[in-house]
Amino acid sequence: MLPWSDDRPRIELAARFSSRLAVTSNRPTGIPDNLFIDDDAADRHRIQAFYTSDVPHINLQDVSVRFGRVPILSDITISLMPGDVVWLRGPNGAGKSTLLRVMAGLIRPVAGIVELFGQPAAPAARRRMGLIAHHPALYEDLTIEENLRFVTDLAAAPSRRLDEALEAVGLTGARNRKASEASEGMRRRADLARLLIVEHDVLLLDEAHSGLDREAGGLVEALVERCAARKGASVIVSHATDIPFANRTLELVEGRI
Amino acid sequence: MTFRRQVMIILRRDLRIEGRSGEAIFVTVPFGLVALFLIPLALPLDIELLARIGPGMFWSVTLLFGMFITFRQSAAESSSQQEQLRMLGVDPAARFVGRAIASALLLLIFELILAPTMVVLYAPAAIPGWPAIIPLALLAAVGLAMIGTLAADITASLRSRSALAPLLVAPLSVPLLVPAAQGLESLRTKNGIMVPTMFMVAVVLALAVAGVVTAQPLEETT
Repeated sequence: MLPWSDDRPRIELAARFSSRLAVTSNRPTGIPDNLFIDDDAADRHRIQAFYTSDVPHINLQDVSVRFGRVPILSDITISLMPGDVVWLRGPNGAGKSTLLRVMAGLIRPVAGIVELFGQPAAPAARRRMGLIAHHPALYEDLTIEENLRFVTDLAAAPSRRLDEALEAVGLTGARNRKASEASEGMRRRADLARLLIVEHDVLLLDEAHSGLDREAGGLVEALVERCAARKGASVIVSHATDIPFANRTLELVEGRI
Repeated sequence: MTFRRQVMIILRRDLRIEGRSGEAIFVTVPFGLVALFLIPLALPLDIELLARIGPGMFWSVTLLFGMFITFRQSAAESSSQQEQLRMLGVDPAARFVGRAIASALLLLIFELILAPTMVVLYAPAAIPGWPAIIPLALLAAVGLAMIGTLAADITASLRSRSALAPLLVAPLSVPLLVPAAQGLESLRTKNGIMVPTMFMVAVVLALAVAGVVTAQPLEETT
């Protein structure tokens, strides 16, 4: 039997869509509803995930990372379950950004185990994860639209997603502006728009609030809640005094939790 | 997504960036032309001597352009952009091929602009069998582009990558540019160019295999 031919997950999925719309009702104005309605392939994927929701999306066991001889992370053990929204905080230089990259499978630890979606970390798993790095991943000589088109094309996402993402982050009017000529806030918004173009099961946000005004900050919240409603998980690195929508808080000090 | 489609997207990105900035062509071509002009002015008017050093001058200037392209390639992609490509699941081999094709196209344009100047200044008596220059120029462009892309990948994780990558290009391009210069010289002296051409084909094939095979491990070590 095909996983999506069973009524039970369909009902569950419908309930999840309803709750998702409820969750997203507080999102900043301008985010079109159709961003939150997915295609059939994504539905099937979600229903398959429904059956395996007890598997952590990310599982780190006794992970240690060194850069040269300098220890950056020591004996980190974390499991990120579906629906988790983790606020990762700690002083500068604690290793937060490095930990995000280990979770993304971008940095290989010197010791310990990294499992993504129940499998040893492999490049293919990264496609299910979205990462916002400290510096926006924009090509300076390309316009904001061309930057996002590049992502849309590589992700093989429908073209309408690009327009919807631009509208959601309020950059429709600035779509033809070169990234090098955009303000820091606009660049941050454009970086966030990347995460709206592709559906992710895990969001890793490194200071995603930085440089954003209040409205765009609400967009981060909407993104995370949308991901959690789909049984995704998010990790938010932030120096904010509070992340009210996080359901777990981890403090990293000198590479240890 | 197919390998070919990924290659096309990367290629389009690189050409669009160059088209927007114009740094490689509009800045470097005048430099190349000035370099080709200066040497005849510095030497006594000896047509035979100029004809003999012409091919070497041409390939030296082309090498400098290749080093500049490599510098651009290393500096253009920040670690955030590299991470973005990895997160999107772009095949590292497709990335290598796309970037190499973009660089090869720029190198070909550079060669096309400089070649007539070289002929006028260094070999006023038309080179016999000049159409044979076309495969030599093509092979040199493709080979240099792959060397530059490979050098950029090798140094991608280093802080000083934009300085180191172009420096790597010079020694790595010796097996490519020496036969290229010999090929032009053979044309002038009416000898066959089959041997240097075949040697260049072998070098280009070896570079292609090396670039594609090492793309994944190099990316994973960054």
